[in-house]
Amino acid sequence: MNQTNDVAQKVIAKIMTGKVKMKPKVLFAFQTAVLVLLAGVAMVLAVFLTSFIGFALKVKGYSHFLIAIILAVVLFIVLAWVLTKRFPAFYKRPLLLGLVIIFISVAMVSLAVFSTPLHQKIMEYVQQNNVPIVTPFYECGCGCSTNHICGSPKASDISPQPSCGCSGDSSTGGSCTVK
Amino acid sequence: MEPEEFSDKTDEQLAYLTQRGRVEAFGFLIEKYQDKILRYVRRMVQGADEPNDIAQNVFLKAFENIQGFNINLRFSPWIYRIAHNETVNYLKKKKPLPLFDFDVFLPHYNAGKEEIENEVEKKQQVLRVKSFLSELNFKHREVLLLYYFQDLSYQEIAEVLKIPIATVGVRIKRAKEAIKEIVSARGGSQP
Repeated sequence: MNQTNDVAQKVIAKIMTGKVKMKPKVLFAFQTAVLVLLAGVAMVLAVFLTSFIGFALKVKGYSHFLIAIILAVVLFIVLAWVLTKRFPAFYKRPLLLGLVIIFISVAMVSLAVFSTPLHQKIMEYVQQNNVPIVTPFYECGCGCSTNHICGSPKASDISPQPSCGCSGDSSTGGSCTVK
Repeated sequence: MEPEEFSDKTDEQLAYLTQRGRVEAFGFLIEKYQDKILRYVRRMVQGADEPNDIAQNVFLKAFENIQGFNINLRFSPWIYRIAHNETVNYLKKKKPLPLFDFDVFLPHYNAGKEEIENEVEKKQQVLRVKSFLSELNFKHREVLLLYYFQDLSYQEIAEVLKIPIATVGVRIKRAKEAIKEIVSARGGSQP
């Protein structure tokens, strides 16, 4: 009993002397906001990458397809970690069920995004403007320096007269189109 | 408000008063929980030299983070969560603990229902568990400790450990099986 009194006395003494102070409520609200934001960003990125994987499957020759899959898996893990760390609705359920719920939600939203011309528009934009990180994902996997239909022979393998089926003049830069 | 006036307050009301700056209310909470927390810490870090220091840290952390406590929830799982984190941090310094437990991954059907034990049965179980607690691994020891010695429900244990309720049931069942194995390995001699 003396030991427990000792604990109580030491704790109270540290509080009364101001050695230990309460953290302000706003800090906890901020922490929750950061976690919610992190979950939101991870969700948006997971949706973007999953719909991109669908887009890359549709368009042949994308070289960064594997990286997109790895990134999407990493984002799923981040999302699961954030949700199970803080939100009882997730940690009170088996992790497998939580992952299935996240996967289905992301897949459904991705399907909706996939049906829009978002990735086609981004691809067209990055072909005209170099956007760091994003551009490599939308480059044709065939290694062409010029734009042409993705999946057609490399520029070095073809005659000066483009025979790869470019939608535009490859010397002036036609745009890649989805097959 | 005099300290004796705190006696009719619930833990959550005392936590609320602490949030409003009433340090005496927190003193009352320490008095209520110090024996329980010290007992929990001692059993979790058996053989450690500093259970008092760990218990002290639990209350200091509780005070620091009291503004993060939601008064609409129960106070006891919240403070046991802090005690759990402190003991885990202490044990991690001694030897590495598993980062991930696979029993939280898959669903366990019908494992989340608490066994109905009468008072006599429960007392017998407590005596039985007490003798073998030190021989169980960390996760089995902890669930038995919280269930039989700290009187938390499966729901509250799930809240403390942040694991599914069914996993609590599975761990308690496996811990009891582990005790049976220890007993049979010793030729069936029970204390």
